[in-house]
Amino acid sequence: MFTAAKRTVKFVFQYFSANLQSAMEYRGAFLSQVIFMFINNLMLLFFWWVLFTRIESLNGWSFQHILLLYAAASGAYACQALLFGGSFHISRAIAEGRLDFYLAMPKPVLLHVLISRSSAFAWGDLAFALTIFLLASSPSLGRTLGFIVLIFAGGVVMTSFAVLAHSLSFWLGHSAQLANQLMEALLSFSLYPESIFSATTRLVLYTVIPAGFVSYLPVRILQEFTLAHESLLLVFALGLSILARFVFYRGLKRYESGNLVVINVVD
Amino acid sequence: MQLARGGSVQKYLKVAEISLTNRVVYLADHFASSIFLILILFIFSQLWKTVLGTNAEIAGLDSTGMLWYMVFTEVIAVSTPASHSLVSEEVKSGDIAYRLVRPYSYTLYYFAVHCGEFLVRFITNLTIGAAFAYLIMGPLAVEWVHLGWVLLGFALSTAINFLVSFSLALVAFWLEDNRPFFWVLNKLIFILGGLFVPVEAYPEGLRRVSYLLPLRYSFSAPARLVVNFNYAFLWQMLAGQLVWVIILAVLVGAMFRKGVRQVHVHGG
Repeated sequence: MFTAAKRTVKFVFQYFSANLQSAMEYRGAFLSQVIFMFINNLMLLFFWWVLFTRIESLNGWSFQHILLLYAAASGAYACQALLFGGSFHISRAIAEGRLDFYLAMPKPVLLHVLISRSSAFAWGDLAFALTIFLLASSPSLGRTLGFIVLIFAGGVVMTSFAVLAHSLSFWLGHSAQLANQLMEALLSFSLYPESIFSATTRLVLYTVIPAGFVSYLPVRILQEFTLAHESLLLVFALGLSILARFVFYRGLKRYESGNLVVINVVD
Repeated sequence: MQLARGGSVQKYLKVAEISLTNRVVYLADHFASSIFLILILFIFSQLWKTVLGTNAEIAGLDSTGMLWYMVFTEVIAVSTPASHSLVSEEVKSGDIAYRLVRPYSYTLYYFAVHCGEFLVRFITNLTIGAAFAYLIMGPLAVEWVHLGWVLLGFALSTAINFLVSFSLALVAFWLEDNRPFFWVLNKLIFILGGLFVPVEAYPEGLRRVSYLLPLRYSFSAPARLVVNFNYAFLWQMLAGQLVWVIILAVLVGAMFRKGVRQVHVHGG
């Protein structure tokens, strides 16, 4: 079992490394994408800066909380896009019969699909998340490592949610737009403080659209660490990933090959 | 001048009509894509209720006014078609050569396409956005006698948005990848266009900068005019819009003339 786990980690690392090398092939384009994404995220904070020049607190949330919220959400998104970039394209692969390539390989299909792509611009999101985290909190090595665990857990939640949303294509056919809108909803809610929402909306945000586990709970943990909160986050991330895996393989039984004659280099 | 070349207005109206008809075919698709608009309006309705409660105001707008303001800025933003990406592709791929030999002005052709598509998107998005804002925050008091001025403001705003995007698309004549310019433009719309908050709420220095640039006249000002109409604001807005339409039209004309000289047709 240990050998199998080691082999899987090596497999993931090799894909990650190949994707990174591929992005670095055009170094100028890579750097400009990273820098622009960093600036892009920074500009998103502008609205909050203007708002907090007029108010002191938003139902207990200060500007510092907002900074941590953005650090957590953009860090989670970066983890998804860098490690599991294939999660954004599952719908298309299902609807167009492009899963054949992965089915023929002696590797876990879902994992292979997820790691087959990586978005270079997400390095900008990661750089932004780490910079904002270091600026908004009193950093130490332990806290920084803790932050990386939090954004990885958030990334797993986002990836699992993407797998669930895109797996709808097994039953609905072309539903990439619906999946993208669900992903958009998750990301959008993750970027606004939970204190502005009613109890019912919060219930939705901790269940159906799990933005609470992408950013709200990580912000609480960063503000005041409790083992209960940390465990809750990790258990939820694990549970959702198991559910996503179950639904994907359930749907895969309905998958029909596209009989496409294509050379599959990446997808 | 290239911008005006190509004969009667009639053919551009026809192009706009074709573009409009093409979009009407996908009407259901447009309504489905408005889900994002509802999502963002929902979040902001909660935010403004929390921040402003029932009495407080920002830049003269209460929570209801703020949401309605955002309905209009967002509807302009999400309804603006990405015709600039077609132009960029044509310039980069050289397909522009096929368009140049046709009996119309390249710029006016795309302006007509842009207007036709914008109209369909604007009507569908506004219907959904306004219905949502009405249900969640209540009605917006609009005096119908002002409608003509408001429509004029929106028409000029559409022209500004087209000219800004088109001028950036023409950068493809000189640079292979002009996408970063659009990323920056999107963020500038967010800040200097006052997408979420009227620019009047900004600190003094930033407000002055936004008053000097075109984006405020294509997003914030027309939206604010609908929500809080007054004639002094209208004249100021129309003056700014006209000045920017002229400046940008001259710029686009000059860029096109200079850029098109660099096109090499190799046949085939």
